[in-house]
Amino acid sequence: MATEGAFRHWACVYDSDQQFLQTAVPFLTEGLASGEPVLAVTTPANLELISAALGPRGGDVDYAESAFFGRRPPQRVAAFYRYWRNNAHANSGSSGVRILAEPVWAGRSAREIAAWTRMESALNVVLAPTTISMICPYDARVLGPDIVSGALRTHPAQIAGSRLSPSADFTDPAEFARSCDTSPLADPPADAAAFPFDGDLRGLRRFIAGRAAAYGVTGDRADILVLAVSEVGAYLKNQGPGTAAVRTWEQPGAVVCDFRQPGLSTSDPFLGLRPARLDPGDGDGLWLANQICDWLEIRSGADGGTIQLQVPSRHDQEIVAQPGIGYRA
Amino acid sequence: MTSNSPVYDDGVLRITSTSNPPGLTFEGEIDESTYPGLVQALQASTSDRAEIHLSLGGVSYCDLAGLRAIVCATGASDCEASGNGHGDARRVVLHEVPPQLVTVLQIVGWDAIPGLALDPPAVGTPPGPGRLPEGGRPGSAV
Repeated sequence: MATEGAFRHWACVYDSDQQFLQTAVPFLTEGLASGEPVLAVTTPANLELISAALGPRGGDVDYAESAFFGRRPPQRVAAFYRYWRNNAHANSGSSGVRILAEPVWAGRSAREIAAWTRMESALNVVLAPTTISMICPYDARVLGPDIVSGALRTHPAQIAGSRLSPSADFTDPAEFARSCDTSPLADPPADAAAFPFDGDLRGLRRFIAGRAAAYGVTGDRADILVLAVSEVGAYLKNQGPGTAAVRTWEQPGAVVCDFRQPGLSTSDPFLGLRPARLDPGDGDGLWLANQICDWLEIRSGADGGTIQLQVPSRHDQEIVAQPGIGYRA
Repeated sequence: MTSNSPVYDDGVLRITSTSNPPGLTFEGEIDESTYPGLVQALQASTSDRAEIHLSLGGVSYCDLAGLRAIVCATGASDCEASGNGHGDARRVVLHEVPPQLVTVLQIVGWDAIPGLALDPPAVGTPPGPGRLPEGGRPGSAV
């Protein structure tokens, strides 16, 4: 039995295959021995290493390649949460769940690296209600020193082998998130299409559906944009009266929708990251929008708040290459 | 389905009661403006019923809160705050669920709520972990 709220989150900085295995193998095998659900999400190369090291015992390990387990940080959080929800209560009571979770860093843009680092920190809060024990391996052979030092700020402790040591650089997650959100979001271009949103959600949906058509975004992908925009609109409406300036435009690779509301003030840096449940929570609609968009960013300051979301433009070929997947999980 | 008279119609959302099988047919848009009508119709039609059929083929938009109210007609635990959780568990069959709503159900995980069934059943790739089989522990070889 494990106690709810026992989330543990450790970084493992390694610089050899042997070091990786010295931490990963005991973590996984101890979980298997105690009958806990065990998930390994890492690179194909590390999956092979684990497989060879565990031998037949590895048959009970659930696994995924990192690149396919949550394409973006909000989806990654949701994937962890979903695994826990689906597995922690499989037996009677609540069991611990072990997850080895190595993010992909190579080839990412600075904006993406910031978003994934922000997520690593946010996990400490967003997954706090779960019984997950998570080790996040960081491969010092290939990662830049800024990414490795980031890991020590986003994980309360490091683990090497079975030896735990607290991270002296660990930063309070809310503080860390706010430090990631200091740069303002891009201003809409002068020729962006504009809609004054005064709470009329149907009108907002008509507007964005019309813009989607104008941008050549059709079918499921237009529906996703309408849903995301409407959920953001519903969130803003619930924050209080006032008119939000909604503007939308196309940029290379993306359709962007920007909401600016003078009275909007959000102090919760994890808004839109906590998975929606049957009992309603603040920001559930933003969570859904976050799941189905490529980006959703929130800024709040003395002069109001901005929410900006982004979906793929008609030029995106990923879905064309994978028919039947109307959204990008 | 045999239709009876509308139980709600505000020009945006029209809800019709059906008797065979017992349930409701929805046409139009479900968002916070039509939410009270949705909840009222669900409460009126679910009381004293062990099974209810909800036809969603005519729903052109449904937000997350509306979807929550619909799946909470099952009486699933954790639904208290939605106004639909009376503790009475019942089977809820959702008919002709628009593909987009199936996607949302899968993303949020409400497609697996005990008592909820989709007709026709949902097909396609579940959301989230790309290649990880959903649900249970498949014991797949690493």
